[in-house]
Amino acid sequence: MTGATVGRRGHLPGEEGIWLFVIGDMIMFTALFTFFLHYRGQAPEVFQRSHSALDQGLGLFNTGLMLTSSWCVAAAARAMRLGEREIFRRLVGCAIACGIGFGVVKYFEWSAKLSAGIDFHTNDFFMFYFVLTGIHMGHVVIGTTILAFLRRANWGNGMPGADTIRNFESGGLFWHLVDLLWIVLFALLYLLP
Amino acid sequence: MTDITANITAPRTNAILIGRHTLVWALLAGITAASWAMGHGVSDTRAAGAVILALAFVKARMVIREFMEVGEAPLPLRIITDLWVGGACALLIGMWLFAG
Repeated sequence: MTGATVGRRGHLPGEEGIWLFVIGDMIMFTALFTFFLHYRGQAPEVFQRSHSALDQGLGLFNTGLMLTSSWCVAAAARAMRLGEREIFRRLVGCAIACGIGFGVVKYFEWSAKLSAGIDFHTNDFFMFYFVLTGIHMGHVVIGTTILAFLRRANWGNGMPGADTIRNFESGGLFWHLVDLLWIVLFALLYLLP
Repeated sequence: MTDITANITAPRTNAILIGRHTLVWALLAGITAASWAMGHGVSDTRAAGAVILALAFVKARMVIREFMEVGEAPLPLRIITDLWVGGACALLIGMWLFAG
């Protein structure tokens, strides 16, 4: 087993602090997901009708972008550990492009809803839709910015130091969190029949 | 003179681009397609919704274990993340089936 494929057994990826944030965010979103299902149980017809109004193709496309960007970041971590700076930069660049693409798709999706007179106040489903996807989009913007900063990592002609690797692992963990939350959001908002 | 780096670079590139993380990406895409099918044209929407939520958490765990590299992390982190996956999954499926 090499450092290129996985981390060392018993190795904690990233800083301890980022894990507190990641787990805290997962718990906070879980609370929001339960609120969504609670309100859905109160008005299932409204939620079913509103869910049908979402562009599920765009949701699916954005899921593809999220999964691919997460793969890019996972592969970039392997490239960094091997000291392959050029491949590292290309992979992080692809992840950033996916993040920007996700934002562009979300912009068109929100715009279409607002143009059709559907907004935060339309009903409880769309209140949750705009709040949940809005908070998630904030994560995407922050994550993309972090990746753009980390992409500049420069370790000369040698191997990256432990701090450089740990910093990228921490930023990568945040990006995988963004992917993880979208997976559940996609199921709740777009897929539940 | 032979360029020995050429012999090193190809396996390295393969290690970066091909591996468990790439298999996981393909599985995630496949499960997404299966979830999509579950949400369309099924008669038992209650059961379909429970399966969709369960598959979402299967995907979430794959991201945690492979992309976040928790599969190689110390035991407490593996336990905490699995508690979240199991707890959140049971909670959401329970609410889907019984809320309202």
